Amino acid sequence: MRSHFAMMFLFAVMVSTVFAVLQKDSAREQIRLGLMMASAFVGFGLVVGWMMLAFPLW
Amino acid sequence: MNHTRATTADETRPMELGKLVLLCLAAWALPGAGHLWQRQTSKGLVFLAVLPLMFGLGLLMDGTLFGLTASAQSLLTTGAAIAERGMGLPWLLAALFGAGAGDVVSPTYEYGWVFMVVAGLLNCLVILDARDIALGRK
Repeated sequence: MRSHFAMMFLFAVMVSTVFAVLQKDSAREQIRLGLMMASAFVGFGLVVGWMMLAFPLW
Repeated sequence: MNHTRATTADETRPMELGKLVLLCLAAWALPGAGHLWQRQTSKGLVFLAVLPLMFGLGLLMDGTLFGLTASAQSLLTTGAAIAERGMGLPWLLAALFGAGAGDVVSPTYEYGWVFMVVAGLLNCLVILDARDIALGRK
């Protein structure tokens, strides 16, 4: 697997799953929090990724 | 020291310090074991599935098992080495079988060690959660 996005997505899903299960007790709340957290992880990663275009490595 | 464990809403029973230490050790060795011990089966199974998978994926991504021996290493590397050890048995097995040599030129190397370090840190949180449940704080 060489896709940066896929790895970031996997990371976001797994970390969000653990946090959601730790923080909430009912399955419904866990799924809700997990989805919100994973979306935030991925969204924030994409935004920061695009922002980094302004700072190229040279 | 008076330790209590909440089993149901209206039932609490004492948990001895020795048993609490054993619970934390089991939770460290096998992610989710602390929750399974306390009959939180679904939570325990999620941790048991996700954390070793995350650590294993880190190994597959050419992540490295950081050592604690070299005095020349940075403080950050030492922190990463300690965090990886939070994973318990999966870390021990990887170390015993010589996995996690790490390939710094691999494009996925950075992702790999981050997966492994974060899996270890998350397991530390899971251990603390199991301890809080055992003490009746949750």
